[in-house]
Amino acid sequence: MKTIIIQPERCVGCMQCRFNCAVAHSKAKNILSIFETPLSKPRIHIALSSEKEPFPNKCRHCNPAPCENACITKAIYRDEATDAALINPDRCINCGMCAMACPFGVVRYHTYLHGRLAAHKCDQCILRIKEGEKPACVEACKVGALFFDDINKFMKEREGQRVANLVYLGIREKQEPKGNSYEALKKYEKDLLVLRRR
Amino acid sequence: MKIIVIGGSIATHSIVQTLLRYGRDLNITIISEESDIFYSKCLLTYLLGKEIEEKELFFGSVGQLNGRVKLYSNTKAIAIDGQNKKVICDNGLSFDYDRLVIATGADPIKPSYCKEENRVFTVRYKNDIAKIEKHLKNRAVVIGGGYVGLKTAFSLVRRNIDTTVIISSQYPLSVTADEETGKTIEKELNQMGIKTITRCDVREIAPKNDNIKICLTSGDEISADLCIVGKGVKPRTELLSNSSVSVNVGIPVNQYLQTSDPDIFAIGDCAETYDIVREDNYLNAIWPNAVEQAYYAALNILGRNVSYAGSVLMNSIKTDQFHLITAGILKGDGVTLYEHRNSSKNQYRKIALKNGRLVGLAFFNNPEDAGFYVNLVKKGGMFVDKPLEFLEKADIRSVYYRPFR
Repeated sequence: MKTIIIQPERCVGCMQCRFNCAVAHSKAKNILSIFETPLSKPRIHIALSSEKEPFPNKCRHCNPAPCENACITKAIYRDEATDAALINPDRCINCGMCAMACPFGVVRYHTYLHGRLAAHKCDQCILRIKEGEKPACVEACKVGALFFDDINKFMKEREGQRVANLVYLGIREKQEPKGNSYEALKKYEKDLLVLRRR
Repeated sequence: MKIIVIGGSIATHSIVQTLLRYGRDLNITIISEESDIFYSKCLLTYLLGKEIEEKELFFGSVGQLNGRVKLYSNTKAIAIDGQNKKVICDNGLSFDYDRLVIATGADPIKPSYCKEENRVFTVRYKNDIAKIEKHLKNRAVVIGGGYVGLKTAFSLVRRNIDTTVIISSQYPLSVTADEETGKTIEKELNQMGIKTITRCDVREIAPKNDNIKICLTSGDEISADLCIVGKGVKPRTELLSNSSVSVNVGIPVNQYLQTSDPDIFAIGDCAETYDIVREDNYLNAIWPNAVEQAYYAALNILGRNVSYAGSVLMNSIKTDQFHLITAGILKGDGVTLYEHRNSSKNQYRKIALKNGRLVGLAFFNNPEDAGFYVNLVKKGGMFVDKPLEFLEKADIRSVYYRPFR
């Protein structure tokens, strides 16, 4: 099953994903939606890590989801087909329990249906996915911080990349030795991470 | 495996769902003494405020559970025979079990002065609302300044009913919040048009003509159409009174949610689970804990030996004017409070540390990061080095984890 995957080290904090998300969830579905009332709000946030690096912070669709467990109206439910935790704004009574339960701080409260406040978070663009499109934030991301893929496949590839890097570094270390090889490898790996961020 | 669940609310619903999801060859029976099951008790105050309709109370039905569950409603379990593994009901039925789950929940506390039965109500069951509606005209009194009391008061004032809240301590939410938060909430209540009387208790409630007269310990008298009591809940344990299972105020359980009889599990409002913050067994009768306990109990019934870390008392109260989130404890011996304010946005965040360990928080108008901090409180052994920086920037580097149990 495909999900949105985040590579936080690649994010540059350009906020394009936020803009595209808001447009994709508006009524007009184009840039003129900035004149709409109620204004469509983005469902993805750019947060700062402890290293002061920006990263996209969005709903992880946890399973079991703490917000789903805390919801006293069962307005938050799980979509069986896409395994996404979704909010039914018709049932939401704006009690604030989901914001209290979410460990990632991604639930906000906005007016977007029926003219009253309701909980508001990422819906994994299920409508766009049904039409065969990519999620809006993934479409907007130009630096590869967000993409849409199968998580197991992606992690396998990423681990393969890491092993390939280490093998390369090991060969280089053998040719030009610099003291303790394990520590040198660790240092190289750190350098690689910094390089990948750029 | 024959599993019997006694109760008919959220803990039952989620344990049955989890059992059906992970288990096979299960024979599940639900025994409930109410005729309607699977409705949300937290929503009753919203029903009173006419924010929702009655059918929106229900969050599930037995039909959704794939027909693999037998339901006996209007059946009250009266005794448990732990040796022969039998549950005996009041209508003559008896059921055998391999594993028994007790999710009987809790009853509202009615103090001794509530003798006037016809005009003094609690908000706990669905038919309570109908009774209240019958007598409600334009003046009401709410006794108790806890979360249920305040939510009832909000609902009443939404319907333009003259509402007075009588609070026995110095400020509302005195169990969970600190003094400043309580005073802030009181100010907000007064702005919404709710009258508050603090440091005052009720001496007597007497009928007077068509309505009731409430005599306070200060000597004042208030007349009202009716009176709603929100003085907390007490667990329903009378079912276990003649059995081998040990009972305190609630039913004490271990980390596998087992009572003193390993085949009997207790979850939800009636269970006394380990409290991470107080480091002792404690009653934390809230919805998210019930769901979480149901999940862990279901896995343990299926033999997976997953240990439940413990519960924390937390709550959220939200109106159009403010949003308060509290968790853990904010008062007591050795508890130090640290705060960060943003007065231009009328926000503040507070955390409570006990010997350097994060034990509680109060977030006013600041829901964005609250969940992050609440989950750190739930983790238990989070020690904070630089509390002010931690509060201001959510800097996780000033926090470290140390097992404490």
